[in-house]
This record gives sequence, C-alpha cells and structure tokens, in this order.
Amino acid sequence: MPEAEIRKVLVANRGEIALRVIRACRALGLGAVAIYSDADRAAPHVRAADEAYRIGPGPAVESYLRIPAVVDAARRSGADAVHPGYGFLAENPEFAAACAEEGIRFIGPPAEVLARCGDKAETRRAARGAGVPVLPGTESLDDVGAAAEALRLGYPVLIKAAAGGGGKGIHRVPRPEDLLAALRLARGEARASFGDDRVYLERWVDDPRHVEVQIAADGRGEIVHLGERECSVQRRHQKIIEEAPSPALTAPLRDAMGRAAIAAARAVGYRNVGTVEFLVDGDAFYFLEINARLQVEHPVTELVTGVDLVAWQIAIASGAPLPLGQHQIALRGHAIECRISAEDPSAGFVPWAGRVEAVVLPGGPGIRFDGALDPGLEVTRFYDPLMAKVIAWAPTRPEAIARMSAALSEMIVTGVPTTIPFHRWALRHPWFVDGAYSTRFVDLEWPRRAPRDLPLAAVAAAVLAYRDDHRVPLLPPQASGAWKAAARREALS
Amino acid sequence: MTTYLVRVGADEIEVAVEPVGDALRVSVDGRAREVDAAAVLPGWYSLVVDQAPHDLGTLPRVAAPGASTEKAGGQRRWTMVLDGYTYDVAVARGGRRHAGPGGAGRAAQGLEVRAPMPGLVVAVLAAEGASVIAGQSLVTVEAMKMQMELCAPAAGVVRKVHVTSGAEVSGGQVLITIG
Repeated sequence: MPEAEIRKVLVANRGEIALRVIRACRALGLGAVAIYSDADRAAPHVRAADEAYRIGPGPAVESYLRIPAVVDAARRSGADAVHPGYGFLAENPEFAAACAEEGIRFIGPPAEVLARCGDKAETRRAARGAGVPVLPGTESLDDVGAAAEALRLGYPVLIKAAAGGGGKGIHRVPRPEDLLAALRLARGEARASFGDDRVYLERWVDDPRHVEVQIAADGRGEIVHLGERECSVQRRHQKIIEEAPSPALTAPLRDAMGRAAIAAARAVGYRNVGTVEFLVDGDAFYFLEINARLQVEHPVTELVTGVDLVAWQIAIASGAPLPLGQHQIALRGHAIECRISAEDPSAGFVPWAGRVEAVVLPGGPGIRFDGALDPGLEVTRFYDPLMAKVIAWAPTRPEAIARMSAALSEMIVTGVPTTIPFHRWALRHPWFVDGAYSTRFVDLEWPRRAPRDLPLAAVAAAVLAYRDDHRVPLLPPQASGAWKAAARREALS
Repeated sequence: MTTYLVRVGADEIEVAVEPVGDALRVSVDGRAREVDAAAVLPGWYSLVVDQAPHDLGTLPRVAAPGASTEKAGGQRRWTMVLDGYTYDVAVARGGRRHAGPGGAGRAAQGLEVRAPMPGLVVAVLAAEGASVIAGQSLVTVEAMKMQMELCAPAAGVVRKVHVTSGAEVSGGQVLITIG
C-alpha cells in the first residue's frame, strides 16, 4: 500500500490494551473508535473512545472474533486504520486481508506475514534457514506420528499448538503413557483459542529462560531491535512478570540475540513491530517463534528505550520509515512489569469471574499503570482475566524492584482475588532479587512459600464475625472507639 | 467475651474475642493476640495483629445459585484473602458444643466434584455407576479459553452426574458425586 496518512483508528480489542491504543491515538491527535460486546457495554475502553460500536454478544466468537462485524464497524465509523491489539484477531491473516480489501489499513504485519508467522513450524524452518539456532522438534503431526516422534525426541517432550500463542495449547508430557491425554487437552485448547487444533512437538529443556527480542521492520528492508525482555516468571506457561533488560544476558549474548532476531524477522519478510522469542539455556539460545503483534509486556521496552511502540506501529502502517536507526536506540535503566489478573494465586492461579468492588491505584516516581480497572468492573469468563499492568522504571534493577514493591503495597483491588500477593512474594524472593531464575521459578518456589497460617485466619474470621454480631462499623471516622462501644454493648446484652 | 467456632477447610478452631480498650483480645489455643481492625474499603480491612499489619479482603462466596451463603445453619461464611492465601471459612457462635451439623453431613452425601469457576462443560468422561480411581479425569471444563480436567479426589463409584456436555456451570456448582 502506498504511504497515506492515518486519521482515525478503530481499536479492535477491549480491556487494558484497547485503552493503551486509544492513548496512543490521543497522543498523535488521531480519532479513536471502540468496539464492544454486550458484556463490555460499561467497560473503560468504550467510555474512553470518540465513537463506540456494538458488535455482538459477550462470547468472543460472536463479537471480538467476528471479522465481518469488526470490519463493518470500521466501515461505518469511517476509520482508515484498524489496530488489533493482542489476542483476538491480532494475528489472523483473514482479518488483515479483510481490512485490506476494504481499503482499511491493518496496523500490524501484512496478511501473508501473519500467515507465515502463524505457522510455528514454518517459522522455525525459515529461522533455521537463516542460520538462527532452533530446538529439535517436529512439523505439525497427528497423534500416531506424535507417539513415534516423541520417542525420537525423548521424554519429557513439549506439545505446542501450531497456531499457538499466549501459553494456550502448551503441555509438557513426562511419560509416553501421558501423551494421548495431553494431546487431547492441547488440541482442545488450541481449537477453542485459535480454531485450529494442529500441534507439534519440541524437545523439552530442563531449566530454560524465556527471553524475547523486540524488533521493528519498515517493510523497506530496514529492521532494528529494541533490546530484550526477560519473561521467565510464568505460571500456566503464561508470563506474569517481565523485565528489561534481562539480568541473565551478557553484552555479547545480547548482541548475538539481537542480530539473530533481525535475521529471523528478515527470513519471514517481517513488517511492523514484532517480537522474536528465544529460549536461553546458559550461553546457548534457541529461536522459538515470532509473535506478529504488540506484546502484553511491551511497556518495559518502552520505558528503557523511550520509544512509543504503538506510535511506531501506526507510523509503519502508514508507510513511513522507521523513526530511529539501530545506532540511535539506547537502553537506559531498568523496567519491570507485573500483570494484575483476576486469579487466585493460592489455588493454582485459577481465573476468577466476579465484580471488582473497590480499587486503589499505585503511584510515585517511575510508576506506570496500564489498566482497565474500575470499581464495578465485571470480570467475565468470556475474556482473559488480565485487568491491569503495573510497570516500574528506575536507573538500576534494585531500585526498580523497590519501586515496584512499594507500588504493589499501595495497590488494592477488592471483590476478586488478584495476583498482587504473588507479585509481592516474587519481588522479595532471593532468586528474583539475584536475577537468577528460570521458567520453573514459579512451579518450584511458589508452593514452598510461607505456609497457610490457620490460627491467624481464624483470628481474622472471628473479628469479622464479632464485627457482625456487635454491629461495629469499623469505618473511619466511626472506627475511633468502636471497640469500646462494642464492649459497652456487650456488657449490656 | 464471645466465643466462636471457626472452620477452615477440615480444621475447626475455637476463638475467643473480647474488647480491651480500643482493640480486641483474640485468643486461639490459649494464645492471646491484640488485634486492631479497621475497614479500609468495602470488602477490605486492615488488621494490626500484635503490631504486625495484615491486609484482609473478603470475596463474594463462590456457591451454587440459590444456595444460601450467609448465616446458613447459624453459620456465617466468608471467602477471605489474607497474606496471599484464600480461605473459605465458616464461623458459628459458641464453642465446640454448638458446632452445626454441616461438616458431619457431608461424608454421608459422598464426595463432590465441583466446578472451580464459572465455565462450560466440554466433556463428561465418566458415567453413573462407573468405578473410578483417585486422580481419574471426570469432567473437562473450559473457562477463559482454558481447559481443565477435574479429577476424582478419591476412588469410588460415580453416584450421580449432575451435568451434561455443553452445560454452563457456575463456580462451586456440584458436577459429579462419588460414593
């Protein structure tokens, strides 16, 4: 497509990322159009936009994943571009193609690049061809083929969804007898998440780190990298804390991975902003996949580079060259992101649906809050439980950890359980403090945290009951002397 | 002084509460603690227990629709968030002799496999009358695009399958009873 100015952007997403993109539109002076499902009628992103279009009922397949409805909203609003955010239609080549057919710019890679990156097995092949190291693994295969190939690769083996992303459809298989059940789960998840149940196998690495490199390509042959993000703190194969730079990389390793990321991006003809994921095992690194979208954790890169990645996406989509060359990109300080999700960390991080009652947000120097989190927010089972991200920047890593700890101790969310207690634990853990952790950190160490304190829980429960029985208001300013009054009442009763 | 019997999971703990000055003296197993409590926000409290501050959150109870959650059988129930753990607690007024029949009745009804969250039943993997072993997959549920296999907590016979594939279930809803 020729160069053309973008004036109005339809944001084909919801939640915190929709707000993030709307903010970028505001900063650039562009119009912002929201879409919403029935479940999101009162959601923050709807209220933040200039225009909003209802696109269907709550379930994502009937709303945010329905290409004709989204394209129709774009056409009706007169938007000249669509930003897909992450998840939903962000990496769907049919959606990118449908936008292009309507003459609407898709703010992301072209359809053919999305199709290439969406086939993880094909991307692996392309990266290997470009001299980028990859892990031993297979193409997409059926269950019979999987049994044979798993034996060849050796157990434990990892099942991955070919159309994968976001940790969905990934299963570690410890023994041959677990393979069929794991394949069934992986295919079920892949079908539900991506409408595509193809899976492939990859060799399991025991204690790896997950490090990804942010790249940007203008489609004119210019590709730069913007440093890496360390994403090894994961639960359910999903990232929960990310930081930039990675405390594990030496300068030569960082340089080698940056060049490998650019080579992999070039091999698939990448265009726009994207992420090249690697597995790091000591001094060795292996290409995993290219995420052809803006990542959830993009803010840590923004804070250490000073780049607005959404603004870059829009600029590249409009046909402009990259705003900066490689030699102009410098990393400054350290950034950490904690994902605040409606989950119960004490019960296997199980997602929770419910209504957020009250919210107290953190603040202070170097604290950025990206969230769609208001009192009254309904967390529904239709969508991902991610509500917000807290990002801390400081000149050094220890200062960034300290700022983040302080921010999280200020933050309150009531009505649903959140990952905040997990983060407060993780930020104090010696492995995290030393930067010496792998993707097994949460699985190994979270169950070993301080045990449940049943007497203290009983004390708390009894205080709640006592407050009920004696009608102690507890709320300031009545709280002052409230217990004394309760004692008087108790004495009289 | 007010005495409570607090049930946390399988544990029953007797707690005595009495106001002392501006605070409460709360005794568990003969150990007294000074507790100062303040409401911060709806559903959020600050407890200072022997000078150590703790945040205490209360969550809406996860329960099957129609079930009475508050003061059922003279008990009050809360789901509390405390120091990174979530506790389901039931509190009855009085000591052990006042304990309600709730816990005892449960064993006679058999083991219940419940939905951990609201979601969709993707597959029912066991039929009524089937013998199952501990850890055997019984139901696959899906929520927020994640599938989870719910397993038998112990060996037994499937007494009742309460749901069918494709059913929408709420958090805490009983899916299968094992006898």
